[in-house]
Amino acid sequence: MRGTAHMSLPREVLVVDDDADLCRLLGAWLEGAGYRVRTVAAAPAALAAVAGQRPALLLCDYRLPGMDGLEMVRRLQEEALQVPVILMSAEAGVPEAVQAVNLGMAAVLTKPLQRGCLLAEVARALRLAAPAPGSGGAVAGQGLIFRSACMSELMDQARLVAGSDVTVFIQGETGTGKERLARCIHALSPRAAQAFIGVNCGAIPEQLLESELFGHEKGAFTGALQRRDGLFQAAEGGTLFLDEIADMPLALQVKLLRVLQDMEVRPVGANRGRPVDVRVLSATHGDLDEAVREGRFRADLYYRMNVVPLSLPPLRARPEDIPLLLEHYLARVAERRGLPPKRFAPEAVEYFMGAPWPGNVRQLVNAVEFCVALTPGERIPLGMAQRALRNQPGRLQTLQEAREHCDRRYLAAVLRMTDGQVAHAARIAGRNRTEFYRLLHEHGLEPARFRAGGTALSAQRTRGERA
Amino acid sequence: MNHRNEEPAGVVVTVDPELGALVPGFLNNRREDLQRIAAAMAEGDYQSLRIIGHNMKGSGGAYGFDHISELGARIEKAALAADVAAAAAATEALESYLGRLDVRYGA
Repeated sequence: MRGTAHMSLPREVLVVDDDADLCRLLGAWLEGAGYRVRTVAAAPAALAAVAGQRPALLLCDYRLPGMDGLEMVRRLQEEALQVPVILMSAEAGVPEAVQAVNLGMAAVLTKPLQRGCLLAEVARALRLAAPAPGSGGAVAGQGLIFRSACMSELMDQARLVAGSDVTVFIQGETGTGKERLARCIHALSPRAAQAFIGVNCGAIPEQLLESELFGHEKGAFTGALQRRDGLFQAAEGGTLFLDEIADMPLALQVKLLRVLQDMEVRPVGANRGRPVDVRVLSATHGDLDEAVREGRFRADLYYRMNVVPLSLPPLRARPEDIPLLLEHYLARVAERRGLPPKRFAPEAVEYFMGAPWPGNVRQLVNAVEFCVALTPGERIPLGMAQRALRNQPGRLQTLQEAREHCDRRYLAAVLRMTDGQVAHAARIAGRNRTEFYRLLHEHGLEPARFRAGGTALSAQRTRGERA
Repeated sequence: MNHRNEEPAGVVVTVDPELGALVPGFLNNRREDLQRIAAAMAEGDYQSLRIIGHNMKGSGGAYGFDHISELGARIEKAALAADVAAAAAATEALESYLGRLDVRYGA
């Protein structure tokens, strides 16, 4: 596996035991296996050490003077200090073991310890745990979380293509994180300091999409009261991400092809093109080859877009990433709620690892939210995990939901185009003003928000609506 | 010569050569434990006695001295039961074992 975690600094294990002889021995074993080791003799010192510099793993004795190992782990969790813990115990009584499992510990080892067994458990615990900040899958803070070989490979390719302006096409099922990958490429590119703008080509009606992408001149059409820059101009110097490119109307595909070839944008109603410096990334959840075969997508544009194809694997193809993702989203939900993170029972994690995930990471995020919201305790049991997937159809919305979603996108697009002028927007939409107001109200859209903002706001909103 | 079951004469123990630097210190600390055990027993301090036995139980086998773990377990158990005679017997066995120990380094 080509994961970055293995190339980084040796991972640190914090040993907590009041027996100095045992600490020395564990130090020798662990250092011999390539880890860095710190040792402390008691729980308070361990808590301070973890708060100071987070180790990759805590190896801690159950029976410690003053505060015992279980209590110490409870404290760590109260303070939201997430560290995998292996408990060592000379008694290994069943009640302690049960508590340890409930506290989410990685393993309970019985003393006297055996070198091979200890090292195997340490390696396993580190494998199952989230990578240390900066050493693992998360790239440039862009939130792609993985340790699977297939994702590592993909990220290696992403790093390679990030350096140049080569056109990248991302294929991936819905919810796999196509926009996240695009953001990663942008963040790793020399354009990182400039804008990244995402637009969903399938969400905006044809006439509006052209003006949205390329801008328009004053008076170019009814409601175009002012000249307005498009997303290409807004992304100047940066990256424009065209999502669901397969849904782009054919007429616009010709225009996009011209832009990509000449790097010149002609706003609607303008006589001349204006040069732009924009890197274009595109994506689709569908099969673009098929779209070309069926004549829905122009072959010349296809070849122009598909210079470097990157394929995002579906979640079911990388089950080893699921524990990391669960932990990440549990922590995120907890942070938002201002509560200590809950944990999934090991059977629940296993169940998730075997699930088909038609909605991919997006579905997983929803499942985590569902489980956290409905689990009263700290530990989310298998049954709740099963319920979360039963209650989620995953890929499909109801027709009603889909219609509402579509209406909202349309209304937002019209408001953007008319700079929030309701009278004009209503005319374009073919509704009278009263009814148009009612529609806006129904969808929670505030015309004033479309007035002051320029393209940056509109791009922001485009992204938000797709999330 | 006084033979006892748990302390056969001239005990050869082979330990991991990588621990060569640590084993003498470990055994020395067990010899010091003998003094500390004597002091604890003189004061009726079963709590200290229990911890000494407990730690011996936890670390002995890991260093390759299973018998030290066994004796540590006996000392811990005796301390919990406040059984002076059993603690004394286990301590005597420890002293004897440490005296007879012949450590070799090898696979």
